[in-house]
Amino acid sequence: MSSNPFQVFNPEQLDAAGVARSFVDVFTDLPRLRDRANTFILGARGTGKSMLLRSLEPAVMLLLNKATSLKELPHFAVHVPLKKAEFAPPELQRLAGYAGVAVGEHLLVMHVVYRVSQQLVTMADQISADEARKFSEYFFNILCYSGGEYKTKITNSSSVELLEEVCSVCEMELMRVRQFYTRLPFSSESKEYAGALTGYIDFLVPLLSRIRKFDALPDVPAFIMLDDADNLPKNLQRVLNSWVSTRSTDYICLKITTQLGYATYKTTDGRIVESPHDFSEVNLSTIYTRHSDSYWDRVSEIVTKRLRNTGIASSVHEFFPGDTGQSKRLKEIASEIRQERASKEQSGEKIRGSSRIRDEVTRQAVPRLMRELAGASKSSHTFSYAGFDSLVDLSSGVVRWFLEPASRMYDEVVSRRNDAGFVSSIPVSVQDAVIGEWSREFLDHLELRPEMEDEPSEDPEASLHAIGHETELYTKLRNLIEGLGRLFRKCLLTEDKSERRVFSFALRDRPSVELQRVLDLAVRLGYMQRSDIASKEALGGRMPRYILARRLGPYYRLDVSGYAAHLSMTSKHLELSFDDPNAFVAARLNRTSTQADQLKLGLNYDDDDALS
Amino acid sequence: MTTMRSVEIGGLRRELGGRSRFLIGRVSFEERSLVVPVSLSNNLGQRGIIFVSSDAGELARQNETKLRGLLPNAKVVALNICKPLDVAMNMHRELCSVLSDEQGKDLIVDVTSFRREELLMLLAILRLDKFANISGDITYVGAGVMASDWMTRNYVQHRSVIGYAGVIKPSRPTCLIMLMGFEVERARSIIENYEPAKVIVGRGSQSESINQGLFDRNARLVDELRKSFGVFAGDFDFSPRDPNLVVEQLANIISDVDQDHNIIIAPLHTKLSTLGVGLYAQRHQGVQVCYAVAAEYNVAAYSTVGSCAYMLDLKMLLK
Repeated sequence: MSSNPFQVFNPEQLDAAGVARSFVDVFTDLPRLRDRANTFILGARGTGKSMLLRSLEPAVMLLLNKATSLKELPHFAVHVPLKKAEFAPPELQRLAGYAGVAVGEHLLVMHVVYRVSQQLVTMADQISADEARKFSEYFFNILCYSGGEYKTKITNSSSVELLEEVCSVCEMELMRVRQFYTRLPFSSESKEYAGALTGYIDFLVPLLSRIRKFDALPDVPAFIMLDDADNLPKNLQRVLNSWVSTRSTDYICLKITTQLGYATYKTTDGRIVESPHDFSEVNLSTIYTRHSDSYWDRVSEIVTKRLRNTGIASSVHEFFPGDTGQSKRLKEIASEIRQERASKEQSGEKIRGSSRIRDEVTRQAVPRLMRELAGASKSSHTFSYAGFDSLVDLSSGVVRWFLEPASRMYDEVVSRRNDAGFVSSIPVSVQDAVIGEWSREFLDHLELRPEMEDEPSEDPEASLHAIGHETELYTKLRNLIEGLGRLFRKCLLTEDKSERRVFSFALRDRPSVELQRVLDLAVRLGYMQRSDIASKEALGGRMPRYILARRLGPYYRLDVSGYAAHLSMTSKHLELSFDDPNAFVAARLNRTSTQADQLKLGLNYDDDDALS
Repeated sequence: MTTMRSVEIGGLRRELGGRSRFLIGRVSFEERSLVVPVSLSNNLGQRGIIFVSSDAGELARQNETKLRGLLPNAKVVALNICKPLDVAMNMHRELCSVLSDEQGKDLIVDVTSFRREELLMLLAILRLDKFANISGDITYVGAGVMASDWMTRNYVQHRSVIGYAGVIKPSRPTCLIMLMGFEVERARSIIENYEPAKVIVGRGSQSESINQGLFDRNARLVDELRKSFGVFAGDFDFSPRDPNLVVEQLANIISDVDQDHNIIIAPLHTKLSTLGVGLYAQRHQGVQVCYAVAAEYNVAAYSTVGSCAYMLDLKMLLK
């Protein structure tokens, strides 16, 4: 049976060859990732953060022909996954104060050194036994100075054995420290910690500096890539922030990924690390919202690669064809629009809308078709979102949101066929069925519901993922999305608007605390993305813009293609939706009908190039 | 196998009443949480410790008020599920204060409405050496109907249960073993957060299911989960009612797993099967038991009271 080319796999479970085979170079979009600086990489689950980090590993870089030898590598990168299973125990937060910081830092250091030594083992054939022994001796010496009781047990050994011993000692130390935390879980007495205490400055930096002395390795800073730092309890996040604040980027550059649930940017001594002074920031969720062409290119490359890896020769458009009947009708409508424009120009009538006919067609064709379908025939449900371009738009900048529905589509086609033969394309009907379900599922998490019971209060020590759990917030978010979805749909179907495709709003005033919490929750859960735009109302100022995830497009029957305008809104209007989405829509449309000119002014693009 | 007896709800008063027994229980928004307290309410001077949520909603508070009316001599202790360390300490402290004397000799431990995380903590506490001499019965009030569309939603935190951190080695991949119930989204969130290398899914066995409808629904939801994640590394049937049988079933399935895996178990089925998971983990300390904290419960339709309750010997949990 042919394997599914769109199977979503965990990058950690891939070997270097697997990563190299699947990876598509994105670094032209993200040059800051390779800077010798500390970097936070933010992005929702599925935006490709782990794959990005794995691609920087030495073995993968060599397979991708980024260098011909280890010595030529621009950095020595080590992937340090911070796994839920390792950091899930609440017992890791038992220790308070100095003890909590010191033991916690030691735990984090050992995690890093374990992964570093594991990496060195994989390249042991290029490290001489003498170099490995010196490294090992140094490791045991400074571990001893830090209070550790380990001694090397092997002499006259190969570099593999020496480095594996370092690895093994780190793992034993990790387990020992965890046992300290988790033993006697029901006792209020805390046993005195008598083990080693290693730190970033006194252990990790000098140890990793030794690696630069290996003949086969480059004399460059180490890139320590800490993946999924939201899995760390808050006290360890503060330790990590303290590392970021030391600015030791000549020796170690920290590349830290989070899923927008990172709880704090405070250090252990209460300072705050900030961008750009202490770190640079890359937000994968918003970067592809702003640069949709780049994202389209990336997804196209990823999909093409996956198809070829499975022996499928189809192009991306052949494999995910669009609805030909709908395309034909759209061409006819485009032609009608051009003719109408030409007649108006000839008759000297005032032209509303875009000055360029091409843009006018882009803006009006799909909305006109949707209006047609919503008319007498009541066949809105027949609008198709099939086609590669549409699926890319729907994935809202999250690669996994392309791959997961594509994987389901593939499985659906295979299961419908009697033979397990070759799949060369996904029928439009299958694409639409899966995408419809995919869109609906996203909203199912926030189903409209009655008053909830058992609302847990906030735990100030919890990760940010736990903070937004007041059930009211979820209800308000659901209602806000419902209100926006319906409003955008109404805009789409309104004939006399110059711009009907609206997919976002810009906030004209400062939001209330509650509204901000709802919007932050929306961004964290992936229902919206946030960017800033220049404010026409505030000279030199910027307004936050919130873009609805295009994944919701099929559910609300919106036009998800290409650029779209945004509506300018006040917090007061948005808050109307919390209790009653319909009231919000009615109030907004009522304002529209009485203040049509102001609404026009509220329609903006944040990329003026689209209009030029 | 566990020696277990099934008692009709109407007969519980006769079964439990008549002598002074110390009750340990949990009251929540579920109607089931009051069944055992009602059955004991005729016992003069009935004592006990009843745990409640510190941030209980309206229905749970109403049930707490009823409970106080039914058992005026019982101590009510609030637990804040946002602070699992505090929950563990508070449960431990309260139980230490009552179980070391004669009251510990004839207990009723009603596990019906404890959250699974709390139940596992309770089990770990009761198994401490200092409580080796306690005795009594465990009661579990079965559900009639469970909510048909959703039971819990919005999982805000994923953590291991206090006392069940396991031994997790970074050199080993993770094998997640799920005892599936009706909460597909909860299962999905656990898989997404733990990102295991292998998933083994268990389904409540048909022969032991409380009724055919529940079995069919459980089986359907396991299939739904399979659709989201593709092929699982394995599957198995487990007993929804017999904790000792669950221990054996887990032992069989885990012995087949390559020993070089970190084992994490997610109990998502009945409280009795959760006890089985706890017993297994207590005897195999390398295993981690995980829990997904739900922000919302479908209070209006979560469950109805079933036709019977189950009773088993508390000593069974202490071995």
